[in-house]
Amino acid sequence: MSGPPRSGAPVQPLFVDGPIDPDAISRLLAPHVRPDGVVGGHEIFLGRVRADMTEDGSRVTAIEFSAHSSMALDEMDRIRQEVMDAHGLAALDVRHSLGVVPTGGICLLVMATAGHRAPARAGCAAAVEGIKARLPIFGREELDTERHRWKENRP
Amino acid sequence: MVHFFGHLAERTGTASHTLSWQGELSVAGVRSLLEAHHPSLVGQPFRIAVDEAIMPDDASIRSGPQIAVLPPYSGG
Repeated sequence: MSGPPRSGAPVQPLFVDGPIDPDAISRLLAPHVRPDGVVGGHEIFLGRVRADMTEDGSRVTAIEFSAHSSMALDEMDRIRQEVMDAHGLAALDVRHSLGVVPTGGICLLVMATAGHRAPARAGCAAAVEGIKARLPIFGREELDTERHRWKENRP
Repeated sequence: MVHFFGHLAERTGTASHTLSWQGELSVAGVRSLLEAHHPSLVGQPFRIAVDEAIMPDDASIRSGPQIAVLPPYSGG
């Protein structure tokens, strides 16, 4: 189920500079209007930068994301193939921010496309978990006290 | 060439530098070598990727390929 992308598969875009424009959803939806009508639904997850409070009362004002980009792109291809195969998805679109995303900005967009709602929902959830656990992306949280701390994902 | 990511680049004060050794080293050996060069890495959790693949603990690594030193991930 894992392994390299299918032969001839184009490299899917992943990274977006700064916050993800909510209109990106419309642009991602358009190609899925298919003449064969087999697509029955989409499940969409949007991640936003939260104004988390630290132990000493500082607030997160932004996250600056960096990544091992080439490794992340390869791993995202593997996650996409695994999730699409496991849940029978027609498509799995993902965008993740790099650079600075202020609090409230969208930093992750996952859209699973399938014939029915159950696989769309399950596939979207599996993709989000895979992205958080397996993509070499690093978030530096800027605080309102002009300090910063590094975010760490937990299972 | 060794590349540091996330807060490890901040701790070591460098994004990358050259590091070489003779023959093969275990992952633990590379970890020790890195910690000897950068004492700020001691006690920090990190994984080592060679040519973009995470190395299991029992792997051996030859000097030369692109080595990435990766702290815990925080995407999404």
